[in-house]
Amino acid sequence: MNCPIQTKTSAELIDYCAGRLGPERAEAVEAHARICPACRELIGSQRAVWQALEHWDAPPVSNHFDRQLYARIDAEERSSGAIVKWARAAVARWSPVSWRLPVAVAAACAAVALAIVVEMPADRSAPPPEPPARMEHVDIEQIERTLDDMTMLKQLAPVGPHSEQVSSSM
Amino acid sequence: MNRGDRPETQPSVRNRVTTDMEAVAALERDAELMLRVREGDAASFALLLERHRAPVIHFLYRMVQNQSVAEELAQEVFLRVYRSRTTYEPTAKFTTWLFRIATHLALNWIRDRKNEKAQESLDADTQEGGARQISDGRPNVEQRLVYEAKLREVRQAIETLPAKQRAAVLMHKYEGMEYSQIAATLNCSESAIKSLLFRAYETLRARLAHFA
Repeated sequence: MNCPIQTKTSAELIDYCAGRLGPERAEAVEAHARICPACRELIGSQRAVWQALEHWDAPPVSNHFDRQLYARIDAEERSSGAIVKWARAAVARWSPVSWRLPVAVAAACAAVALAIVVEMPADRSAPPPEPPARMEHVDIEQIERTLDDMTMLKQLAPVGPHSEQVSSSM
Repeated sequence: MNRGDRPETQPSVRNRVTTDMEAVAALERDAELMLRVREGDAASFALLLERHRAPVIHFLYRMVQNQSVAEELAQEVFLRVYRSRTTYEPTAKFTTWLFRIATHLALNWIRDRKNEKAQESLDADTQEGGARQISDGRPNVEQRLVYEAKLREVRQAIETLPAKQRAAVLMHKYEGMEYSQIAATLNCSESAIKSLLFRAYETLRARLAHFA
């Protein structure tokens, strides 16, 4: 076994003094300590520390510990229960007035949103429709042509009873 | 070194295996109890309290060296355990989690009280609890004085340690925790804990070696 002090593994000596080494490791430490004064000294002083610490018993737990703890838990439960009750009461008090209007508004908004979504074209990448300005241009031309035709017909029509006959036959 | 020098506490392999198995079973039981507490079982919380009350209070007592403060902090520990019941997940050992809470509270208390005069409470508590802590029947006055002097020396030696070293020594010595568990509790690596403990025991050896 290498010297635990020189190899910076002194935790093994501490474990030995604490009785936490297995028998094989404990025997190895003992064999080493027989030939290593530094480790022997460390083991001796560490045992003294271990024994000194055993002098220090903690006082017994007071009888009222559990009672106080449960009282604190109960107090917390009550306060959290009181908060829950208060919240429920507040909701119940205000519910006839306050919840119907927001729900109605929310439903209306949802309906509008749904309508917008339904009306939107499914394929946004499709080419845009013909510009309406061109349609208007076509209509005006047609109207102008019609008016021109009517004017021409009026000019061509003869004046007199025959003309009335022609126009009534048209 | 003679074989007779081997510490009496060195366990046999069979004893050690049995102890380890019992420890594993106990850990599983703790996690199971805590899961039942999560389900609203108050009796399981009472069982956990019964199992861990004394170790937690004793650890805190040795950390802060004042019994009433230790009990107050311990109540806070168990209260936090109870509050955390709904979010508890058995990802770490229950005792590691418990002692992490306890250490956190103790270190905070020590930090807050660092500038206050702690010696007063130490002396008062020694006078109050000294006689009670003697376990060997009826000591005479001289024995009692010697015992109290030794005890004061031990307490002062522990108190002079930096708070983290103190916590590590107390968990190692009195709670019998493994290095890995102490490391998890103090949020350090295992090698850092070994080094921390070695430095702490070095200080204690310098102060308490004459007890041999």
